[in-house]
Amino acid sequence: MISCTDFILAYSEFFKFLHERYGKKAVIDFWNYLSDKYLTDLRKLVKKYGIKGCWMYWSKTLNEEAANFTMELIEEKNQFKITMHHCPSKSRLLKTKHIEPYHDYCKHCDVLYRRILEPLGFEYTIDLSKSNKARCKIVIRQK
Amino acid sequence: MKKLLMRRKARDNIYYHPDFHSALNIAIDYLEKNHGKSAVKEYLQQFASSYYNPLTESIKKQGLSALKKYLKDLYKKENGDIDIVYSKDAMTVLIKRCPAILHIKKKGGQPAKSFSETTKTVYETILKGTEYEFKMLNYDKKTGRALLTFRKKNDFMH
Repeated sequence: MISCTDFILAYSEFFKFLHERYGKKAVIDFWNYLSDKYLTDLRKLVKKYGIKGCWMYWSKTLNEEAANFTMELIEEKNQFKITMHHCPSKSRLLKTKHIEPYHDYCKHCDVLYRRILEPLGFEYTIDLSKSNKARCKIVIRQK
Repeated sequence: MKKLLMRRKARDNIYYHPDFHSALNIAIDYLEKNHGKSAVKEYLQQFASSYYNPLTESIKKQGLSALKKYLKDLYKKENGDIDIVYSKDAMTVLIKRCPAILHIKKKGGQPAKSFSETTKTVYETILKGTEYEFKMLNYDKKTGRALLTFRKKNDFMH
């Protein structure tokens, strides 16, 4: 068994393996597949509760991942925002000096969540410009 | 205007997100279905030889005690149930309950056909280049219950 606390390293290496063997498209294909199969809780919550479903989903995952973050929900504006001050996944990758992270690791957060939220009528934006410092920002708004 | 705000620092929580077991299971299943079982083994070999390299080096220096400590910590952290019988040249580990498989099933998933390779291939790879060899016996696909044996290779016996 690979510990769930080692998963991020296994995940990054998985992207590298797919990319090296089968090219970038294989990585994107996998992210799409993972979004469909793995993010079922997010889809269910957003379908049922709208923008508040985002709050409910990330309240659980970001706390379990011991992230350093600020999360904000303004229901009347139908807006949800995550400011990731220090991403637990990326910081693990940066801290593990004997492994080189997949060069486009953070992009999976763009592909996976966008694929769930846009078809449900939400606009999804992610700012990865500081991802090399394990920081990013996500804004989700109802269209 | 109703506004909810949550601010958390890393130290406010313990890093433990068991649903990552489901994500890894999906990845293994995807790889097997799209690229075959050999791709699963090759991926796990590549991952284990790079990520667990410090553990391999510790086993080379300290023997099976390094692996024993690693396994005890791992299953304690994951709330697993294991029995370890240890001696300097051999160690058996009975995994009574696999936390990964329990979680995957709890979430309504099914373990990938090659899921056992996350134990078998990973420990074979960790021990590569050491004095020890690994065998996985009596693996139960439904629960992950298994008997793992780690022993000094005959070539190294004096």
